[in-house]
Formats: sequence, structure tokens, C-alpha cells
Amino acid sequence: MPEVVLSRRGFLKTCSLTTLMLAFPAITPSIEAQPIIEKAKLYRWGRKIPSTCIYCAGGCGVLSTVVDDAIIEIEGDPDHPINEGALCSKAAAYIQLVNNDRRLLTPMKRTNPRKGVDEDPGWVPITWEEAFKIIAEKVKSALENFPYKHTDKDGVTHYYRVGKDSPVGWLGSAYFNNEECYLIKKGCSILGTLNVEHQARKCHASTVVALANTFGFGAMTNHIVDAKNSKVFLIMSNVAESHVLEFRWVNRARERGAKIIVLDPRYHRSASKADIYVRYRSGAEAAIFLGLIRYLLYEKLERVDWRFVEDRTNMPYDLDGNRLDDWRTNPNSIFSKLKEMVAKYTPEEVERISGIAKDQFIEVAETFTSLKPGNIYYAMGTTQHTNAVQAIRAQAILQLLLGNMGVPGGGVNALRGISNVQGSTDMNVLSHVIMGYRVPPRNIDDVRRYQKWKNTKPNERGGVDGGKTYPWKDISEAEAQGKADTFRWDDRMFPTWNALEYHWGIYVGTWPGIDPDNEPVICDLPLGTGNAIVQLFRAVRDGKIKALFIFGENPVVSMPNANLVKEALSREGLFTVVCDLFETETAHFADIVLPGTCRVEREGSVTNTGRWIQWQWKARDPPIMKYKGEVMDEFKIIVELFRVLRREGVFKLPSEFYESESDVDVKRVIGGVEVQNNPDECWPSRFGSNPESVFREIAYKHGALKVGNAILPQAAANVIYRDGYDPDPKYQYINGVLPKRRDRTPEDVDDAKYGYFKNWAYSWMTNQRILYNLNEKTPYNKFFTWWAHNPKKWLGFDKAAVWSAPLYDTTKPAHDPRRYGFPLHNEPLESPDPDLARDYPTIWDHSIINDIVWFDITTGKIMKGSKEVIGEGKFPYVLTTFRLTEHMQTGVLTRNLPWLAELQPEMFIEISVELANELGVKTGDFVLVKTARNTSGIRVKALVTERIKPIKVNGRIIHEVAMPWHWGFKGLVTGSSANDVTIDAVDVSANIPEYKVCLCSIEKVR
Amino acid sequence: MVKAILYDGSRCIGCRACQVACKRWNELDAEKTSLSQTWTNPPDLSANTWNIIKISHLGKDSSFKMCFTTYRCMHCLEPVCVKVCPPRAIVKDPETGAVVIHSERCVGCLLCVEACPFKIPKFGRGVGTRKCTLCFDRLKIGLKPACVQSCPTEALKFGDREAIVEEAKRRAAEVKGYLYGVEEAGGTGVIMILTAPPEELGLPVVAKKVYEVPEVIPIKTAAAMIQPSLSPESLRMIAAGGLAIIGLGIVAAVAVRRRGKAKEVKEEET
Repeated sequence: MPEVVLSRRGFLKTCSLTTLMLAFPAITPSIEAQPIIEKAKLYRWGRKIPSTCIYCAGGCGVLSTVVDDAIIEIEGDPDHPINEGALCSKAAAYIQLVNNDRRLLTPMKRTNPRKGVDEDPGWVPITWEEAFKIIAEKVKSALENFPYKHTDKDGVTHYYRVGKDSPVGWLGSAYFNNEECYLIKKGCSILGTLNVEHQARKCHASTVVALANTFGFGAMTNHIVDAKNSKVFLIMSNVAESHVLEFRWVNRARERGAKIIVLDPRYHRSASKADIYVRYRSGAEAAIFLGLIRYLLYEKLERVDWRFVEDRTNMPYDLDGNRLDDWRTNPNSIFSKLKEMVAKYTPEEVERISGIAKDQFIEVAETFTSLKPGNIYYAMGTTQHTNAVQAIRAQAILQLLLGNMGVPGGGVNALRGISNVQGSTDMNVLSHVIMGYRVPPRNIDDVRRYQKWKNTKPNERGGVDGGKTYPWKDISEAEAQGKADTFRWDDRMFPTWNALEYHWGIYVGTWPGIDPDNEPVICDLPLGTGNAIVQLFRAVRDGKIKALFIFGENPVVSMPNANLVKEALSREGLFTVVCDLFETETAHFADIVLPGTCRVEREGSVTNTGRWIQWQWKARDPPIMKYKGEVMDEFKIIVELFRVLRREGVFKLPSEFYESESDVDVKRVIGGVEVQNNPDECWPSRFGSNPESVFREIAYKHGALKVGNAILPQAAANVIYRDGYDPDPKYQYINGVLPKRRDRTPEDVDDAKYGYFKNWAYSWMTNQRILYNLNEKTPYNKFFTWWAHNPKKWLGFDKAAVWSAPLYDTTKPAHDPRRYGFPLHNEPLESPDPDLARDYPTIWDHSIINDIVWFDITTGKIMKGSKEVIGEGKFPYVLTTFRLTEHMQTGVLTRNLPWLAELQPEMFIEISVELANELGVKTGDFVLVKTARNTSGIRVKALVTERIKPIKVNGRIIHEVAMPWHWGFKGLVTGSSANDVTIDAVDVSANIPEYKVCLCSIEKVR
Repeated sequence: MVKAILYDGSRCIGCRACQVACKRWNELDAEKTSLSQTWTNPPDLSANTWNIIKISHLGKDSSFKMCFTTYRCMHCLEPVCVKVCPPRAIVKDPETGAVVIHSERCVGCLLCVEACPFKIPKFGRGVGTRKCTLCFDRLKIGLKPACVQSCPTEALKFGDREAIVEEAKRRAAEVKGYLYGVEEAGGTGVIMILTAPPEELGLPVVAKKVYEVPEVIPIKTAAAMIQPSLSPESLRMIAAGGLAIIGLGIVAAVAVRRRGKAKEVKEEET
């Protein structure tokens, strides 16, 4: 046995070790005394910075918790009136967008000159300086030979640019703040291009045209929280999935007894909560609403709100603007003509067109017309069609007849999609408008009249003393000369051009201004209209656009018939700059990519779908590369971009060319102050170089901006946002920026009862929360506006246009609603039924786009344009597209986030059980989906489901199939893009593509 | 006062804000998933997924409907997982009723995984067995559970259990719904109102009585031999004693080796 020898040292060591071990339990913490874990501690002590959500246009408040420079939590803002601390799954994952290691951090340059889906761009990181330098070079060479002057037949040379002819194009973005969108429009306008578009064209362009021409304003009439006041909902969209927090308020109404009617080709999460769910065929929307109007006028006349109709619509008038006392019976009244137009949309006919069984349709009609106030929610299902403007007008007319307008709980509620698409639309980042929904001069005659208008009050408007003045003093003088139309148009446009002259440092008029009819026109605003988005990509494809900026948009996935976009973007010689958070499908085709930032990393204002303009505060600096030691973000990128272009002499104003070529000094005098054409001094704003200063310029309070000894007639650059900036001392705490207000105090009894929240942020116009609501105490737009008139006769304010003069053109063919000025039903271009296609021909203007590839059901031929036959085919199924709660648009902001990719990982196509049996397909099998435009098709996984069902249309069974369109070839999870097969035919009045209906074939594949 | 969560399937729109909010607050990783027939994803709970919404497609043609239920730890009034856990890692907080697994104590024996009648706790390699904590840490600083705060349609509510049960009964009668969680396993801290029978929505059928350990675990494992009456202190004493013995053993072994080496050297020297 070994001797155990223990030295003294060894003994001491052993003792201490043993003691330590025995003491071990005493020094470990007991379970009961568990401290609060790190996250909760940090959360409690971190700074809380408010902003609003980046995803849908609900405008929910989000709160970032910041510790040092890190954002450790982003949650719902409990103080926010709309979401009260709640957030849908997308917004709940927002922090994973902000703290995401897939984000771009530096500008990058392409080294592989070839572009294509399968071409690796060969990105190389570069500095901002190098990026701006390359951009300046390329834009300069693109602008060579872009004319800035034109000589007319009398030999007079006028200095102006034609907006559509500019070789520079710009796309984006509904995700940017108002100030950034405003600067984009400002910069592009002084650069001379109207080839400026963004997401709004594709989603609610038809809403703007339809509602502006019926009511006066083309936006959601009520607002998000107002839903709680409704007694019945007619939901044409998928509110529970696309505008989740809106459903919170629909639910509140439901708790008070409201009924929910959902109409959709698919049974979705909104349908799961409906009292009445009705399936219909995509493309029948106009027929359904005309059927509802007919039901009201022929079966339930007593439910018409006669007083409302008489006082506030143009139905008691004839088409010439004469009021008829016996309007209810007189066949010449607009009311009688409407009745005549809807006569044929009986429940039987509605069934034939839409597939809705007669008794189901009557149940819907009964329920909706018998409860008040009634609320219509709609979105892409109604807006993305060739007859969208007419279908939306039918919705509006129904609500006017029922008196559901201008009341809490009522309205025609267009649910806008992206977080700031309302703002970007208001800032007019579109090809046909300039600012505040006004348009630029159409021709030099417009400018000549404008100069006379300026001369009428030279001190205020910067005209010339002693120069020829505007011919009419008021509307009746113009009416007497049959020029009411012209007067109304000028009265709308001129004040905005005047404000832009001041704020943009430009010149619009004749020179020197004494004799406007004969002098040369000098116009720094681009003339005419530019290319709308579908036309824009054809212009890119055909080489007319040489330099293209795509900021915060992903057209390779979002454009219909997307292969055309890929072809256009691959064109040799095209220079493309993309700015985004990640390497998107579109960035894949770019020459230069610039890193974007998240909204919580910068400041600005954002306008939600309910017209609430809310300020975003900055939580932390973005992680992207700095520029000259300064933090960069979209605002600064845009400011610096145009600054660099000017500094490098890339473009000059027509007035600057005129000055150098004619040796004059083009200037105006307003209120005794010389106002030069000096765009550089006005960039980004005369008031300063931060977002607040730009907001001030956009929204200055009417009558408060003094220039010298004059007060500018229109101080706000964007008249829709007027009074959003108020210099009154009581608003000093927020620097006069009313969107910064975070006060839930109701303004009066109505506010408390109906939830206007008039002291929270700011709403346009002039803080009106429910448009056309006479009970709100705002100065201005309680009334249906000037659109409600006849071209020769001005009926005054507050007459909604059931018959719409601007949408009236007797030269149009018999099937075209424009021939009558009333809505009708028309089939989609790819109608699934030959009889319906012949009975209700598509409204289609071949001159807009003459190379659409489509399938003609009446002949079985594939057509290009209106006449050319390019093939034959069989496309038996109706294809529609839809959205999911968990993904946003093209998936850039969601498919790169693990928590959202986990919820909805794969692209799929929904097929009914019946069709699946015919095709021999089960869930998980792959199918090839082909259309006339894409005969190689896209490969998609099938999801066989009871959510989709065959529909009986015109006595025949039609199969409808549906795909979400969120997927593309870039991201954490990837998949086929639905828009590779959709159709790019557009609505003739709004240029919005017919995404929601086309015809396809499906075959099972390996 | 014991708290409870109220889940109202008639208000739920299946947006999964609750799933994301939970992952966000608890910093849990996402899982790799694939297309699901009803969009339920992930298909089941895991150490990284502590609540899911199970979406069900019931019926066909005109009787087709989409129904929703939540699936998560029920925070039972008398949790069997607490009774069965050998290292006493699972504790029911008397103040809130939250049943919390303290991960640093978990030894991954999987007994709670087997024992739970609702099949909730899930083991994860490297992290141990995990599940919903009722946002115990948020409750301590005066906040509601993350899922409750995030729910857009107020399908999730939180409050005193008595009031929650009363509200649930009233609401279930109003919408002709089914109750779940009031009496299951002897009563739980998650009260659900469902628009279809629970078993049709994928919820386990659980007896309406308190579950005892011997009933659930028919096989005697080594751990089951440990008397449930052992207190944490006595467990620590045992652990400490064991370590001390091992320590002494090491010291002895080292001493023996040294002695052996010294002997070798001595032998070499001679």
C-alpha cells in the first residue's frame, strides 16, 4: 500500500480547497433571488424615440429603445392613437431590418459591363466622392443634345424643355420621407425631366383620377381610426392582411354591432372574420357596384339620402349646368341619366358577369344599403384594372346616393399601400403633375396667360408693372366669354407656379413681360407630361432614357410583364443608379448602387393613408459609410446629388441659357425685393438645409410669408400641405412643424366622440380629418370642390360630380364610359369569356401603348397591340395576384428578415381542389404558369386549397388561380416572381396596369 | 393575484405578430421552414419558438372556414413540469403565476418534455429545454407580455385570472365559441375562446384534472427515484459534499504520484 505523505503545504492546500468546495453552494445565487435579466434592464433605462412604421400606410407609431448607439428594441408606441402599442408581424420584426448584416454599407460600382439575371455584377466598393463623380459624368453625357430652346413658326425662340423628351428618368420612392420626395421632384423639375415616377402609379393612380373627378380630392376620405364609427363595411380589399391595424378599428365597430361584408375571389384572413363572404370573378368590380346602385335606385329608392343628393351633388342639374326643379323625374337630369345607365345591371346580369349568385348579391345589397353609416374599403382589387377609374367612380356614386360621404364611419376609403405613398403622391413624384396635384404648363400659351396673371398684381406675384394683364377678373366674366374652363384651370395652376418660382429660384413667364403675347417664353418648369411607368420602361428599352435613377423601388419584381423591364435595364449604354437597403433584384442590373438607410436613422415627415402627416424622429445614425466625415442618409444623398450636378455644370436652367445667350438679367421684383432665378441658393431650401426647413417650404402657412413689403399669395410650395408649418409663437416648441404634435387631447365634443385626434400630428388639408365633413371646424376643404362643374358653367363649391365633365368625351365609342360621363362595366383586356368580351368590350386606347401582348378569348389568338397576330394559345384560367400579411411588396424589406422568412418561406400558387384534380396536382408539386406574354412560364409550387373555388360566369365554370407577388431571385428566401407573367395593359385615364386579371395556363412539371 | 392570458380566436386574424414579438423580445433565432398548407409556420414549438398560431382549414365549399388558435405554454395552476424537474429548474412564480424554466439549472433530462400534457417544453442543443416565460421579466418592470402588447386586434389580453375567466365565458357565449384552458390540467393561465372544437384546431385533448407525476411517468428512471421532498439546500449540500470528496481524491492521487516519482528518483540515484 503506497504511503500517503502529506506535507504541511499539501495539507493546507487540501483544507482550503475543501472549504471552498463546501462553501460553493453558499456563494451561488438561489433561484428565488433571480435578478431581472439584461434585456429588461436595458429596455427600462434606454431612451425612447418615436417614429412611424416603414411598412404599410397605416401610420402606426413605433418606439425605438436606444442604448448608447444601439437600437435594442422596436415596438408599438403605446401613446399612438392608431395602434395603441400594437404592431402586426411585419412591424414587430422591424428591428431585424434595422440590425441586419445583409444591409449595404458603402456605394458600389459594377465591374462586369454585361447585365442580366445570370450575370454577376462584380461589385467593387467605392467612396461617395467617386460615386458622385461617375454619376455627374454619365448624366452630363446623357443630357448632351437635350434641347433647351425651340423656335416657333414666327421665328421667335422660346427657352424651355419638353419634360417627356428628357433622357434622364427617376423612379422612387413611396418609402422616402415627404421632404426627400419633394426634393426629388424639385431637383428633377429644374433638371428638366418629367420622366419621374414611383410606386403610386402602379397602385392608386386610378383612385386619384376617379375620386378627384368625383369629389375633388383623390385620397382616402376618412381615416384609420374612424372605422370604429361604421355600422356596415363593404370590404373589397384584404384589410386584415394588408392593413392589419385598420382591422383593429373594424373590430371595434364590430363589437358595437357593425356588419362586415367581404367580397374577394379568394377566401383570405379578412374573409375569415366576415359576416357575409362572397366570392366573385376578378375584373367584375364595376358590374358589382353598378348592380348595387341599380338595386338602390330600382328596389329601395327610399334608402337614397335625398337631402344629401339635392344639396351636395350635381344630380339635380342637366348636362349644361341648369338646375331642374323636377330633377327626380325629369329625364334630362343627371339623376335620371344615372338611373338609365345602371338599368341593365340587374342581379341576374351581375351574376352572369361576376359569378355572384343572385340571392347572395341581394343579401349584400340589402345589408349594405340598410345600415348607416356604411364604409367601403378598397385597394388593388379595384384599382389595378383597365377600367379601374370607372369602377372606383361607381363606388363613389353609391356612397353619394346613400349619403355616406362627409360623415364619421362613412367614406370611400382607398387604402394606400406603402408607408409614405400618400406623401410621395402628394409631393407629385409623378410624370403628369408638378406639385400639389397641379400640372406644369402644357404649352407656351399657358405661360403667356400666366405672365398676364402675374402682371395683374406685380408686387405680389413678380409680374411687370404696366405689362398686359389677365383678361378676366372673376369666374362670371370668364363664363360670359365661354371660358369658365380656362379660368378655373388657371386659377388652380398659377398660384402654385408662382410659389415654385419663389421657392425653386426659377423663372416662368415671358421676357421682359410687358407684351406676353409676342415676347419669348422663358420657362424653367418642364413642359407637358412625362412617361408614366409602363411607357417609361419602353422608353428605357428604346434608348430614349439614357440615365435612370431608381431610389427605393424594385421594378424588376414589381412591374407587370417584368421581362420587359429586365430587357430594358440590360440595354447597353444605359446608366442606372440604384439606392436601396439591400442588393435587390433591380440593383442587380445597376451600374452604381448607393446604400440606403432605415427611417429610424433619419428625420422627416410621413403621410399615412388617412392623410395624417407625422414626424419621424431619429433614433441613431445609420451604419453606412460617411461622406466627408458627415453622416449620410437619403435626404443628404439627394441634396448632395443635385448639388454635385450643378457644381459640375451638368445642367443649366433655360433662363440661365437665355441670360448668357441674350445678355440679360432675368429677375422679378416681389414686394420690393429682387428675386433672381437662383436655384442653387434655394437648394435644398431658402429656409435652411435640414428636413425641417424643407417641410417649412412645403407647408408654409397661408398669408404668413412676407417677402419685402408683400405677402406671397400662396406661401406653401405644396398647397395641399398649406398651414402645416405655422410660425405662430405657440408652436415654437415644435419649430412650427405641426406634424410633430403628439397630443391626444380632443379638440371638441365631436373629436372626443368620433376620434378625430385633431391635435395629433396634422392632416391635409388644413387639418381636416374627414373630408367633406361640414361639422369639422376647418377653414377650407369641407366641401366637394370645383370638379363638380360643367365646362361652360361653374356650379360653385360643394357639388360632388356624379356625372363628371373631365371624364366626358362624346367622340369615344359606344362601349366607352367616357362617351357618357357615367361609369359602365367593361371586361379586362384578357377576359375569360368570349360573350362577355363582346358585350362589354375593354376600354383601351391603342395610342397609349401599342405593343401590349395579350390573349384574345374571342379568337384564340395571341395579339400584339390591336391588330397584329403573333401566335395562338390556350390560356383557360383567370390569374390574379395578392398580398400576404407577412411580406411587403417585392420582399426587399421582409424576405431579408429571418423572422418573416420563417413565417412565409416559399412562393406558391393557390389552386382549387377541383382544378388540382383536373391537372393531377397536389400541394407541393411544381407547376409551370404561362401567359401570352411569357410562354416559357414561371415555375411555382402548388398549394391546393379550399380558399379558391371555381366560379360560374355566363353559365360556364371558370377556374381562377392566385399567386402572391412578393418573391424574386434575391434575398434570404427566394422564388419566382409573379409579375413575370402579369399584363401591362393600362387604364386609359390613369395609366395604371391591369395586374389583377390576366389569363394563364398551368401544367404540372418535375 | 395569479394572472392569465386571454386568447380570443374570434378576434384573431392570424397575423403572427405574437410569434414575432416573442422572438424579438426573447432574441430567439428564426427557423428554416418550408411551405405550409395552412401557412402555420413553424409547424411546431421548439427551443427557439415559444408560441405559434395554428391556422386550420375546416369544411369545404360554402361551409369552409379558416380558424385560428394559439399554441403555447399554458402556465398551469398546478404544473406537472415543476413537480417532475430533478434539478428544480422550473419554478412557478407565486405573484404572477408564471411558470419559468431557469436555463442555467436545466440539465436537459427531458422529463418535463415527456410530462407536459400539452406537449410544450422543447429541448434545444446548447440552450436546454425552453418555453414561454409569460414574459416574466417584462411583468417585473410593469409591462405586459410582448405578444399581448403587439396583438393588433386585441385577441390577446392579460389580467387577473378571475376577471379573464369571466370575460372568456361571456365572450364564448356571445360568439358561440369553445373554451379551452379553464379546467384543463386542473386549470391554466391561458384561457382560450375558439371558433371550433379545440381538437379540430390541433390542440391536445387534456383531462380536466390536476396531473400528478406518477400518473404521467410509468417508468422509474434514476431521476424519479429522487424524493420530491428534497429542498434546494439539501441538493446543494449533496453536490458540495460530492465535490469535496472528488477534490480530496484528486489531492490524494497527486500526492501518491509525487511520492511514486520521488521513489523513482531515489531508486535511480542509488
